[in-house]
Amino acid sequence: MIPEPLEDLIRTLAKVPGLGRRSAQRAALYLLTHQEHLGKLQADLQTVQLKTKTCSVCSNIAMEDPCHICTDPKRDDSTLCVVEEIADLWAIERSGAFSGRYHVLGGLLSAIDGIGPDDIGIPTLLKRVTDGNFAEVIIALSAGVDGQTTAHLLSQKLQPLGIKVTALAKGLPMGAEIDYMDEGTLNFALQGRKSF
Amino acid sequence: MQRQSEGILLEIRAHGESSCICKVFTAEYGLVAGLVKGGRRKKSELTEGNVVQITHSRRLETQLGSLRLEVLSSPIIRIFDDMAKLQILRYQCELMAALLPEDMPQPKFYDRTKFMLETLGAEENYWAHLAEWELDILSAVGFGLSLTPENAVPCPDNSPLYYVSPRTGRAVSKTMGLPYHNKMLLLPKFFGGQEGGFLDVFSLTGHFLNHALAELAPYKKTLTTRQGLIDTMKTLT
Repeated sequence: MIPEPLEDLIRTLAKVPGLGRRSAQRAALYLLTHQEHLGKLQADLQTVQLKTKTCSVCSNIAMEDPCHICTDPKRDDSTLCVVEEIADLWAIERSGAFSGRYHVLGGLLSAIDGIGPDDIGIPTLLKRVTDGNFAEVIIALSAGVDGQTTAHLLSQKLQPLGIKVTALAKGLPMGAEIDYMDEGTLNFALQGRKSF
Repeated sequence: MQRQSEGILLEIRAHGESSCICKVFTAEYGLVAGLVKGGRRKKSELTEGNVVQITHSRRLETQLGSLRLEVLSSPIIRIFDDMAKLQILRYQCELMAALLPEDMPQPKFYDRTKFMLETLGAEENYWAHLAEWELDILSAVGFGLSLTPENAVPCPDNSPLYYVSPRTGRAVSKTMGLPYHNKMLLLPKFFGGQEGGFLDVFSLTGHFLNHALAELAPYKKTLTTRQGLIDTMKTLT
C-alpha cells in the first residue's frame, strides 16, 4: 500500500532514537507534504555528513579537527574533564561552570555488555594525561554502578601519575523535595554536606 | 497470575528505548525475570544489588511477564566509594543472574546473600565471606563441594585432608591423593586444609565455577569479572 521509497524512508526514520514506526510514518508524511522542510533536511543531513569530524584529541564532534574546545587558547590547560558521551560535554558546556579541556570516553565499562577498558577511550586518555600538563582530572561520569566502576578504574590509573583526581558531587538536584528523594541520593547528600 | 515477593535486583538489560528486562533473585520464587515498563527512566531505582519488593504479572507461565519494583534498601550506597566491595557486589549479581535457575526457590541462599550484601559496607573480612558465598552458590546450583571430614573420601590412616578432586569436588587426604598430585586441587587452609592462602581458595572455587559457567555462553564474561576481582584482591592483600 505504501510506495516502496516512502516505506524505506519510514524504516530508516524508525531507527532514530525517539521514533517508533508510527512516529516515523507521521514524520515521513509531514516531510512529503512540506517540501520546503524536506529540502532543508536533506541539505542539513548532507552538510553534517560531509563537514563534521570527530576530534582526534578529545573525541568531541566538531567542524574541524582538533575541535574548537581543544584549540581555544582561553581555556584552562591544567584541568581535564572526563565525560561519557558528547551529550554530557554539551551539558557541562551549557552550564558555563567549566572552562578546561574535555575527554569523551564514548562509553562506560560494562561486564554485562562485554565492554572493557580498551573498548572505550581509556588508553587515549592515559596517553593524553601522560603527555600533557594537567594538574587535575575531573571524572564526570554517571552515578550508577557502571559509572562508578569506570571512575574507580580511572582514578586507579591516574593517581600514580601524580595528578589530582576529583569526581562530581552527588546529592540533591535543584528544586528537589526531600521527602521524594530516594535513600541513595539522600545518603550522598548528607555525606557531601557543606558548611554555610 | 500475579506473584509478590522480596528480592535482590541482579541484572538490568535495556529493552527498546524506555523499558528494560530485569532479573531478580526472590526469596519465595528464586530467579524471576520480567519486563519493567519505563524502567530506563528509573535508573536510580534500578541498580544492581538493590533489595526490592516485586510484583510479577503474567497470563501464562511461558510468558516473560511484567515486573513492578519498589526499592526497599540500597546496599550499594554503603560501598559506592570502595572499589573492591563494588566489584564484589557486581560479581555476585552477575554470577547469580548467570547460574541461578528460574522459579526455583532457594530461601537459605537468599537470606545468606541478602545478609552479605547488607553487611558488605561494614565488613572487613569480606574476602573470606566471598569465598564462603562462592561455596554456597556452587551448592545452590548443584555443584556442592564436600570439604568437611564427614563428607570427604574416607582415608584408612585418618591423615588430614589435603587435596580436592577436580572431578567430584570431594576432599581427600594427602596419602590418598598423592598418586594424582598433578591433577588434584589443593584444599586451602581456609577450607580445612593444611596450607595455602586466599589465592588457592579462589582457585579452588574458580575451577568449579568455570565448570558451572561452561555451558552458559553469554555469561562466560562473568569469569573475566571474577579475574578482575582477584587482581584487585592481589593488589590489596
